[in-house]
Amino acid sequence: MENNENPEELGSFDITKYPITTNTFRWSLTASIITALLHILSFFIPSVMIMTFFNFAMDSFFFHWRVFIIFVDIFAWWGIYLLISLFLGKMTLIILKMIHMPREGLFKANHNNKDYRYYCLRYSIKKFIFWIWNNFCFPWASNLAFKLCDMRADYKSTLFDGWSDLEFIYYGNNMMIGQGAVVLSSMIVRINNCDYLLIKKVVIGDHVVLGGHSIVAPGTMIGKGTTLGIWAVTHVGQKLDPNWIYIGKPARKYQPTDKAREESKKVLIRRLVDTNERIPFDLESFEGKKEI
Amino acid sequence: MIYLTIIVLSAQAPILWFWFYWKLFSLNEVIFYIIFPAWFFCGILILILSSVLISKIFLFFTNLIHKPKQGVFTISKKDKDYCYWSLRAIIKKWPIWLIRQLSLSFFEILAYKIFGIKTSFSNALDNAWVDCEFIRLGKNIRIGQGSLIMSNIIVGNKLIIKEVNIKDNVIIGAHALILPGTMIADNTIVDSNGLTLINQKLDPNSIYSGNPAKKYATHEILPNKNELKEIISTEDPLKSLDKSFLLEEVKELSVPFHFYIITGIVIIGFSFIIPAIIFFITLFGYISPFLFDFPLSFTSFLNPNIYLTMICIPLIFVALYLLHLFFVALFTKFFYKLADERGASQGIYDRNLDESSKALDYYHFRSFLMKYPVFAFSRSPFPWLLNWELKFIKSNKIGKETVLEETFLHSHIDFGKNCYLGTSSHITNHLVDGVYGSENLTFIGVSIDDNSVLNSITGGLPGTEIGKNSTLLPSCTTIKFDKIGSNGIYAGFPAKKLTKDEIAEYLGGECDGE
Repeated sequence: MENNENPEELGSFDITKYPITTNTFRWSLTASIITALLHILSFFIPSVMIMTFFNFAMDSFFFHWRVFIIFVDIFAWWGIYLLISLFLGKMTLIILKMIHMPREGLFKANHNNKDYRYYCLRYSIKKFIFWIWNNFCFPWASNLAFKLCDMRADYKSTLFDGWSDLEFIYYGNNMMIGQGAVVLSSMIVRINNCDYLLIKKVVIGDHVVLGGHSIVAPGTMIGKGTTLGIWAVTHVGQKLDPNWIYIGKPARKYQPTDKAREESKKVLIRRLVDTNERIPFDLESFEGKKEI
Repeated sequence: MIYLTIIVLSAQAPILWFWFYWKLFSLNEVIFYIIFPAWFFCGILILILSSVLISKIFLFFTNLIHKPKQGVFTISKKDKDYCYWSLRAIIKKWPIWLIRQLSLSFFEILAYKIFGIKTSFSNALDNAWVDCEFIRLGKNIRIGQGSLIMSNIIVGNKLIIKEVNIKDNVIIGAHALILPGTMIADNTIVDSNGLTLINQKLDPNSIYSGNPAKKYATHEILPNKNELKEIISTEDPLKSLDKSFLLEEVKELSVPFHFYIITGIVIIGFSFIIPAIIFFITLFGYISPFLFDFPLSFTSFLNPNIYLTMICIPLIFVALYLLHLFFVALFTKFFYKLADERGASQGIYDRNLDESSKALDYYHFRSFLMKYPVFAFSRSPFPWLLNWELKFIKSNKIGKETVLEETFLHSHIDFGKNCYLGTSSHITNHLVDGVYGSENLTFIGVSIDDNSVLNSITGGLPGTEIGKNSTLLPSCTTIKFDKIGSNGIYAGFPAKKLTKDEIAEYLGGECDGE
């Protein structure tokens, strides 16, 4: 939040001032071909089942009994498609890992660099896995997909609303990622007009809540029970203490979680945005409230 | 109508493609099944290409009739520029939708190029939303997750269209918002969550940050490689961290997963039954004998029935898709009513997940229920059906002529007439203060009055009330129980009303916001 108006004063390098960027990359030809192959192969068995269903079930007679249990078949097609795509995705990941072990560090963002090249390949395949699950849309399915990508996560966390990176992240139990929050374990760093990719492990403890549109930079460590407010941004390698609420950019301490919780119980306060007045908020008379 | 015509016409090429396949291999040959998936994949690519080309043809004629212009226009059906702007948006919707669904970044850039946008294949923008006109992109641009490049913005009842110009080697961080008229010079970095103003010019080789974006440094502050390596050790943080830093004492959650899975299967799976049966009947009772069994030759095309069949096929598929969506809404309505009657009404609750609480279970169940239906509608090629769906389920009140863009909507968020809600906004009906505790779950709806404009990535926390005719600029977020008045323009987090000078600054003098 504190913008320094005079750039000259910033003599030495300050990590908290470092811009948090992104890690998007251009898809290489190899990645596109592998993804296309994965799409095609995982559709193979379901397509046979779908195309032969008519011959088995109907055979020029429209209302065969098999038609009435078509939902069993639909689930079978779907289930097999999901399982095969996951299996193939996982196999490709394992093979890639055998060829080149993923590691943390600073790499040149150039397809000639081996680390960067394999990073892009891994991400392309992980995106394929997530594409499948996102279109299926069972919220907890993404937790399973995270597990498949060799990350630690449990099934009771809600991880599906944000954009999370897919490796070098440790998620605690029962945590929540808000809408549109971004968890980055890798990002582009620009040094002397040359792009480098920084990969650094992110560790997030139990019961952490990441607010909507908050951004977690690579190397962040978040203690248990901490809340990162809406629109908050951590800096590279920041360590957030347990049981605090952090807001702002770069994230700073706001209130202990317990205190905020106690205070919010006492009285509900409504802010009138136009005049910046604060008035007590009466829950019962709220206009939008529906009587159920 | 134009939209449907584009869908129908673009489907012709893949139909021919599959017809050719059907003739090449008969259904009972093994080779049919082996090559089919690859053929199918190519069919989709052909569909994408043909839809892009057909949209381009439509676009060409629309632009002949009325040339796209930059400027400030009134939102009304009488304003010609506004009408043609929405027409152009509709024409481009189908191909862009198809490409984004399949996340094919190569085809996205190809489509942009065909639509006449200057861009380069070295750009990486597949995670962001980029408008598809009046954008000029250089080379090697990286745009972050969930960023928005907008060349048009709605303020009050005005539509501002202004070209965005991004030069080479620019990095735009996650959730950064680039408003119309922005010019970003070479090598500049826009920090995450930054917001540029309308008509803002960013200097080369600098770093911009904040909301609104201000220059705070040039590239000189960026570290060299060794400095950065010193600061960032590659040691595994899990080893150095204390266990008490990360682990909470174990509390077992009671989440009724079986309940979710059963309803999920009913909503998603059962809604496919009738469309699937009709699909098979059409495929083998209509398409196969009336089209695919004809030889693919010149004489077949003299038969007018062939053309009729080819036009009907895409229409039938669209109808089946809509039927599926209808069943999704129907099943959800049933379960929603069930949960709404038994579950908690609005208020403040304990979120003590270690003891099973009925109110909480139904509350969670209700949010789960909304997930797939809203997702299915808003991500469908017909997102305007979302209004109908939410009214049908009776979870939200939505006034006439309200436009909801592709976004997730919770229940109990009520809109007045003629509102606008932009992409990726995050208005929510619940707020959790800490994962566990007593009275830490606020569950209250949001009400938005007539003619309000909520731009992209705007949001509101529970209990927000927004008055008439107010405009929330992108990234404006309210806090809990905020009340926003009428006729104002708001920005920032927490939302604040802009004064006259600030409005002039934010809107670059394009529009006085009256």
